[in-house]
Amino acid sequence: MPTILLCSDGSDFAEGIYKYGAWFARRFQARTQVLFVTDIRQKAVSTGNLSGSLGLGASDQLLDKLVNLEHEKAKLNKKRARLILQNADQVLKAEGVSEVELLNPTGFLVDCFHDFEADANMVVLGKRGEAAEFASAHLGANIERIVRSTNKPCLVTPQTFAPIERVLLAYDDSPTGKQILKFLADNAQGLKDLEIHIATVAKSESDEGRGRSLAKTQEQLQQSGLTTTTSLLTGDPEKAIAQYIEQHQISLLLMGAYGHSRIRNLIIGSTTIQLLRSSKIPVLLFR
Amino acid sequence: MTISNRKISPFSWRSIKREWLVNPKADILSGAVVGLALIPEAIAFSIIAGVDPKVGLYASFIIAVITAFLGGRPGSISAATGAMALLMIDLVKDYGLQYLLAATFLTGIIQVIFGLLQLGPQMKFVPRAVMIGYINALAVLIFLAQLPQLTDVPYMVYVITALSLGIIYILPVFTKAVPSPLVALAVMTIAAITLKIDVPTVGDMGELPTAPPVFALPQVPFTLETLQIIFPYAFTLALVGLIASFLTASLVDDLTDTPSDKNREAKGQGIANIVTAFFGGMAGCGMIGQSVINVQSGGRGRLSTLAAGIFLLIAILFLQDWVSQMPMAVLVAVMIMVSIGTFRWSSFTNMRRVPRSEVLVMLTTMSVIIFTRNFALGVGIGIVMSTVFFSRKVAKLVFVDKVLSEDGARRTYNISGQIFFVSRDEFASAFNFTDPVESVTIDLTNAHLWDQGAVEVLDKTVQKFRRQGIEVEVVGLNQASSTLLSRLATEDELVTGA
Repeated sequence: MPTILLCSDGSDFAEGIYKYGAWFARRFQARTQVLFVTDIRQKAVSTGNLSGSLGLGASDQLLDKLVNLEHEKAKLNKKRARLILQNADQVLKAEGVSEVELLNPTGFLVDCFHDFEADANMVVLGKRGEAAEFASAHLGANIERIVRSTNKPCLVTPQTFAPIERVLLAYDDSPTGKQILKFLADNAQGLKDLEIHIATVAKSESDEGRGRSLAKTQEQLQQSGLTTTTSLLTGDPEKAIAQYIEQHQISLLLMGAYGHSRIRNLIIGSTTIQLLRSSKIPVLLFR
Repeated sequence: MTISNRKISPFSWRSIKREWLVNPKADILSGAVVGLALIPEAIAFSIIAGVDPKVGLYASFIIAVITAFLGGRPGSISAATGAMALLMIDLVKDYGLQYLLAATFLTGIIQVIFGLLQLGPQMKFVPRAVMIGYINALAVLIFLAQLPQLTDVPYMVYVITALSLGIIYILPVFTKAVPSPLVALAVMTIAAITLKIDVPTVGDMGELPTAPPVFALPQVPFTLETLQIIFPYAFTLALVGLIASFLTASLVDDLTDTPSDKNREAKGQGIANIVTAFFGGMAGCGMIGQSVINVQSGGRGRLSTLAAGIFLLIAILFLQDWVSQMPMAVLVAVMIMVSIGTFRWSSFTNMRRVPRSEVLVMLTTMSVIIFTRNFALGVGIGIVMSTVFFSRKVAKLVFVDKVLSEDGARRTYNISGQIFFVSRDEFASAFNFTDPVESVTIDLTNAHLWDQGAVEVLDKTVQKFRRQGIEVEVVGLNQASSTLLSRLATEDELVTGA
């Protein structure tokens, strides 16, 4: 049974994570794991004392104080973690997912992530987290690092859930593009009722190579029983794709996380980042 | 799907980032509090050592900055300290500043070697009672060092000291948002200037820095004679510096519930002292009081230590006119606060609960240091005493159970405990050689023989029984004990029996 790992931080984005996660879990008949990492930095409490003066037995008193403060804080953190995970459990069960596993390690998300990611087939993350609720055009602090360090498909979700009906595959001939095709073909069973759009951005409309590979792609997907339409777009990839999403009311975008430039091999492609930032729909990233 | 083979170990970068950027805001803020608090201390310690205030101020800046990068304990504060200053007095008096700088350099070298040899974990041989005695002695000595500033001085000095102490201790009751020692410094300095009160000021004590430190070699002849002069000082400074730094590190470990790297700390301290020597600063080490203030003010990462050093330098360069007019009396008040804050009051309030031998070790360490002004000697005596007390306690745990067989011909001694040179007598006194039995069994299943003394006493016991015409059998030796026996014993039964 495939596993979908939902990384939650209990922020406003959590709901979106659970609902999209549940959607995929139902489609792929997967079990879900909800990961909430209690950040170890939250341990660093402040006494709010800047007096710089030391009384009798200062270090003993300070130790007592810190132990008590951290005790209270850790208790609150634990309680919070429990509530967040309970909520996740409720939402997922209500969405019809039966197998839900709740995970609550303490540490740094970026460290713990790899222990759990290894067994998962897909990872779901919120576009932003609790640290960045205001700045709407920015990505969360962890997202880039996680997408960069995993090779599992990563679903980056917006705050609110909208039913998925039309899927756009931003296709290029890269190995990542082939991987996306394989993913679609492998999971064709769960995606049959969806409209799948395949778009390639070419320099000019007369790009025959692109056109041919697009046709081949369509053929491949139709063989696995999916309904597809293709289009050849031109111009700036970011704008062209964004426009297409708008025009055709696309509700899920599939794309590669890599840039084409070899120099950028280690970071996410800049087009990817721009699209992640601006899009209001979930994006499933592949590497 | 395979587990991703992740590129270039990002771990080191990550750990660097974590040590530096855990909570930058709080780190910089607490660094500022500590940096400003370091000014009066650095000046006061320079005066204790008998050098210009700038020597201590440069040292504090450089040591803080270098340990921020190279130290093994993020969040601890190192700078010019009282413990080190107290050890330099004679050297400065007899040979002058340049020899102090040379000794500081050598101190650093010794500390780096200590770190390279990975001797950090060996600090476990310094027991807690010795550590506490050391801290208490340090507090008392810092206090005593202030007395010269309080004898034969105008009565206004006492007034200023008392008022400053009042501000330092009472202000935090109303607000904890501003460092009370700094408020005391500011208020009293302004008062002294505006009211034209004539009391000794920091400017009277020697030169203050007017520029950032510059590189210079210590001006000493590079001869064996120089080495003979500075080595004893450097060696003591190195050890005392390390003890203080490790102590500070484990205190911060406890306060923040995070680990530290002792070998790295030794190397960091060493390099800091080496560099300090070339920039005209005196040797320094970890500061217990300031580290507590740092953690208390919210400092946790390396950034707090770096910020402390940088704030110190900026403040001293911008405020030098004010600093030179600071009344010494306020400085005395700040140092009295440091001394009180350093003193482990609980070691006296707990005295009835702590084992007597440990109280004795603590008091002995403390008084030896106070009377001889020699930290290394005090700690050495403390360690020896603790070791003796410990071995005596273990030696008392020798139990002997005597069982007579039903026919009255055979006696079995069941021995349990540690048999070594200290517990020989306990062992020997357990046997009754005039027992009217034919044979004796010594069962050592629950005992361990540790050294030559143990083998000797067992040998003698067997001999004595044999002289009484009693057959002896030794059983139940564990592997280590029997190896020792077969190598050292003279009685045939023991050698073959082993």
